[in-house]
Amino acid sequence: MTDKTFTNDIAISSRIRLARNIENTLFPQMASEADLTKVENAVTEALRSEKLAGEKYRFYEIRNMTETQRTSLAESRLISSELGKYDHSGAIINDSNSVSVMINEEDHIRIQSVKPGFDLFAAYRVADRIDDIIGESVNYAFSEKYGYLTSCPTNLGTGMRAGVMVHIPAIVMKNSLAGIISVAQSSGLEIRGAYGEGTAAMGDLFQISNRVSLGKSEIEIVQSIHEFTKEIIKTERAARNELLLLQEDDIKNEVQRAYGILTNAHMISTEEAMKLLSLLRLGTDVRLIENVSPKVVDKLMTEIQPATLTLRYRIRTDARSRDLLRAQHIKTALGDL
Amino acid sequence: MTCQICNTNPATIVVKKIINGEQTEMRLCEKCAKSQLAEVTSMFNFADLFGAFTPLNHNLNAMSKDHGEKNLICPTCNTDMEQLKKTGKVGCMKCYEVFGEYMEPYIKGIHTKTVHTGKVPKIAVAENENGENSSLREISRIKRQLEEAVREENYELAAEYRDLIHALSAKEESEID
Ligand SMILES: [Zn+2]
Ligand SMILES: [Zn+2]
Repeated sequence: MTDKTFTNDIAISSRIRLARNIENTLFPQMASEADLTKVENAVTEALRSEKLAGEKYRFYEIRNMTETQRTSLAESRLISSELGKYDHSGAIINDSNSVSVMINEEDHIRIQSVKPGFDLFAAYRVADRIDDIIGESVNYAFSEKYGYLTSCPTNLGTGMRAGVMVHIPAIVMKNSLAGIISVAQSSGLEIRGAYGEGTAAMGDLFQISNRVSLGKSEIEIVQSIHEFTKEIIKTERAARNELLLLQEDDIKNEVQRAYGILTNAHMISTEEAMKLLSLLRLGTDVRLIENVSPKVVDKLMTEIQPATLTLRYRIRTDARSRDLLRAQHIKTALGDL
Repeated sequence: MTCQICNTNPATIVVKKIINGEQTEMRLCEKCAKSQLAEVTSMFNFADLFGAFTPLNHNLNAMSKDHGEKNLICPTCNTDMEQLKKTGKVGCMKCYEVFGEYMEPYIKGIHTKTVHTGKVPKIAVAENENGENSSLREISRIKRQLEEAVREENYELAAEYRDLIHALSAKEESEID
């Protein structure tokens, strides 16, 4: 049995991001319009090649996109919300949304690779390959001592941020999160809300990632997050078992109420929906809810985010009409089974 | 700032705690932080696996204190010390040469270490082929292969890599001496 089949209920996705800059070109923050254009052309040229193994890539020119379109890509984690601060910023994203290359963000190049579930090594292999492809036509800013040179010293060395998104409602319910945050910190890792910050994280979704990128190899970093995530998964599973053992009726009650509200509400905010979807996800994982697929719940968590929802239905963007639409969208998605 | 528990040692670590649903931050010395974490770590017996605490002393403002307030400027991108301290970001790759000496403690504060051991772009490998330090590069390259081998549970191969690294490290050390 692989880690994957066993852990996808708790580990939602695995992500690698590599920060790169082009040699002898000012970093975006200081770069001239001409520099930024040069970077844009170099990266698009590097990725235009046939080396991308037949996969289709799309180029998104940030300056030609609306605020909503941009935010929606950020809500789907395909770009960062910072992209667009500088001229000639863009993103090259593949059809399956598993690879995106941001251009002229904080660094000239940010390569991102995502895999569903718990598969950080696979995500790294993809990012590493894209890095090699770009590196064949672009000379990277690199020093023997500090490794890949980045605009912010926090990214020096490997330029890598590796992360696993985990759904840990039972750990949150048991209030054991603080301890885990401390252990992560002491291990050079970090755990923070995937949507929203800190303990108020929406949907009990957290991102485990490395804080240290210099002085460890890529594999070492991936390995440490992999091991840490394994422990988190174990802890979450134990917490779920304990909750079910000691408070089965309470959990059943919470989960079924969540399902009831999600399938009946006429209006719902992002925050409430995320909270209830998290309970529903827990319910499907522990088989308290049989007729909803966890995949549908995961998809909903992105789809109900404000900009993504707005974009899908092309409506006026006030909060009230979004709340109406959100409730409608959730009902349809959960009824469509 | 002194440690909020013992009130004697300097606080170097921020510990986040949730008490009655409220998150609080405590600034502690390493010793008190360790004892605070002891109960937590007992459930995570793997904490030691990842090495010691990373001190959170990366304060950019402390960067130039010991070096006077001379306002250095990077000739390539015109970023000056003032700007660097304000944004926390450098403007170009040469900045690391210009400000490197002053940034070293800050970088150490973030990463604990200050020398890259990971991937090397192809160009740098080629340039370095006959240059100095190529055995260090080779070591880190083999180290990665070793890790890969261990991950794939190919222990025979891993043992070979390990021996190779030992041999190269010995060579490297005698060269430095
Ligand atoms: Zn103390
Ligand atoms: Zn500079």
